[in-house]
Amino acid sequence: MLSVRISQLQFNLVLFVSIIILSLLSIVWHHQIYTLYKQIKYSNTQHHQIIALNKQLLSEHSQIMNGDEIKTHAINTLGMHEAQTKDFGKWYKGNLAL
Amino acid sequence: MSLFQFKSLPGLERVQGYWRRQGFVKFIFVALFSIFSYQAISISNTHQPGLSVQDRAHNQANKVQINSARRGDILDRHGNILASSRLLKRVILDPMLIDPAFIPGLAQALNMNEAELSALLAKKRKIKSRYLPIKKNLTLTDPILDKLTDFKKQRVEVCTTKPGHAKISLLDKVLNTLGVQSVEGEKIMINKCAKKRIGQALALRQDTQRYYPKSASMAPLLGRVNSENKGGSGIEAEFENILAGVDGKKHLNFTNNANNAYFNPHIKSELLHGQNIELTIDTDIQYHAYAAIKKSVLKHEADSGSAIILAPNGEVLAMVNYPADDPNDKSLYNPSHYRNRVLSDKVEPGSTMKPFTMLLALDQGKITAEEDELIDVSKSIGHLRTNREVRKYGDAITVKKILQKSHNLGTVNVSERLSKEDMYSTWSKLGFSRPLSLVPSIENSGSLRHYESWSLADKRTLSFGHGPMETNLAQLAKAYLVFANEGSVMPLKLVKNMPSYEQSTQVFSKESTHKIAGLLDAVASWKGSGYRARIKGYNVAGKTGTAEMVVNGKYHKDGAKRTFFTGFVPVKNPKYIMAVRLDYPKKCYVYKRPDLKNKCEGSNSAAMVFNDTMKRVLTNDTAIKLSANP
Repeated sequence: MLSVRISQLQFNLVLFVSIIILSLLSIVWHHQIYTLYKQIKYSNTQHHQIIALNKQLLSEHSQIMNGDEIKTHAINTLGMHEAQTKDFGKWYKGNLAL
Repeated sequence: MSLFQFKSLPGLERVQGYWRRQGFVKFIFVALFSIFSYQAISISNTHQPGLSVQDRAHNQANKVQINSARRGDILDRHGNILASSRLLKRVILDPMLIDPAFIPGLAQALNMNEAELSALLAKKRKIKSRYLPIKKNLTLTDPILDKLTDFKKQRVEVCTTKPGHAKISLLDKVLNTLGVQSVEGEKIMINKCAKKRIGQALALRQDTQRYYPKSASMAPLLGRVNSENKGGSGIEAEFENILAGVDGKKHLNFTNNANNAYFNPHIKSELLHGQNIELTIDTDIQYHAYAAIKKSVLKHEADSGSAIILAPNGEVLAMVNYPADDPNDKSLYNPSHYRNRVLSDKVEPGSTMKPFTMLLALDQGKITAEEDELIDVSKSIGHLRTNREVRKYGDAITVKKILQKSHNLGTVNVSERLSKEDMYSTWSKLGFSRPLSLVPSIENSGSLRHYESWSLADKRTLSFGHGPMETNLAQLAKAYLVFANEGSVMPLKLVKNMPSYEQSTQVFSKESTHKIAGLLDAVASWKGSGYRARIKGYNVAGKTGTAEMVVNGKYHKDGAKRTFFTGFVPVKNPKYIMAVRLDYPKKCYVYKRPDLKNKCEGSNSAAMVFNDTMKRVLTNDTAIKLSANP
């Protein structure tokens, strides 16, 4: 059987270094997990925001397509009011069959 | 044989002053132990306000994470949003942390006046408040949010002035330290400048708000959510369980395994977002109906108005009520403006029921409804007296004339040929007094007394929509579906993909419904009572109705009336069935003299709503062709 002759000091040193490395690694691993968790949370928030933005834009579209808005825009901006007698000039006398 | 063989280390023999050294080490050890013990006790019990360190550690290691469920949207039949939850941002400032150097940039980002912002901050600082909500309800696309995000990244030069001492020479410092002299620098104000970000002084918080893009036109149907974001009325309340969803709750325990805490937490309740509800409503048709009913209520000074439009398969295309409030305006809340009168009110439908009396009589062969068949109206029946007014169309009139002129005596004369049982059974099959199950919590199914309790007068009045029956407007519109489905009545549907357990019922024969539909075409003609429902270029059929209002079990003393119009278009293969009701219209006018007042009836009020709505709906529906003989 393979026998390795090492001094007690060497063994202690190996243990000492291993403990330090493991400690450092555990800190790194924990930090990696924490970072990943944060990234997931951030991605979820972003996802939530995108869905919310999508909903907002759909709501705004629905509002713009509302009859009230279209009617107001048509009358006020485009001047699409119903034809009245005065619109046909002073010579117009009878009823207009539209 | 062991794996490792340790060599004996040299120098393990006693060294000089071993006990002293050992005593020193012990002393150090005891001292350190005492210091740590004291520190541990003092930290946990003495110096920390509020929770002890153990409790705080426990709280930090055990977290309950709550993820709020998104409330589902309400959509129309084309997928347009009728109600949705919006994410809004709130801008919070901490006046105690904001340096005056930030104010110009902040004011610019917030689109505010600098002086106004300074005054607001100063006011809060005076009372040492750390909370100033400066902007609320900002939508995600608001440019202020982008400006604030940029501003948070900016570094602004902040200069602070503190009282201090002027610098002294190194020699004086050394002499001061040695205690030889005590020389202090001159007292001056020290000005320190550094580039800083606004940091914690500016925060953005999230709010959710239920938003209704179609505002008042949908309010009584959809209802609205209360302050706790739960459905208060209408569809929002009826489908609360489906819309609300379930909040997700996770328990994160960091005591043993952080990995598990992050990625395999103990789930107390699974997050379940609310589901969308798709209605059969068509928002364009809904808007046209709402605009027409609003115009009519205001013009005729009616107490209220309501209307429903159905597709031949029973789907509800529009359900409108006026007055109605804008649900987005939280400052307004009048419960009566959220009342869905189409489903909640049971009323006597008046003459709009006459076509069913004729249909039943025709189906049973009691009448032929031909031009050569005359119904005698020369004799009084019960309380319906014959007089010159009643006989102005002659002593005997056709069924067409009875419907065209909404002749009560003529209708009663026809009903005399029918039995109570048959009338009761037919009215039941049409769905009167039966629940519609559209919005069960607010629905009033009306009433239809059993025929055994009817007097002769009850039967007679029932033939023209009074007496032992009351109905809601949706039931009345549903009964008119017989004209679109060759004599059968279909179950109504308001929510798409919702299975219906009710089947269609054949009430009248195909031939009878075609014949009476043709006669109803004459009602909406120049000579008929519904002449104001005519639409140029289209064949329209319908029936007017006027009923005295029953208030608290008695007819209204001022003669208040409800006016109705129920119609369908086109006459052949109807595509839209509409029922309109106006409560107590007070100002109605003569057709050819729009400035001359007239008594209010279905013909000069409710029929106009039908006309206004359908004119616009038909213009937008290219599938319906213009009639050759309008």
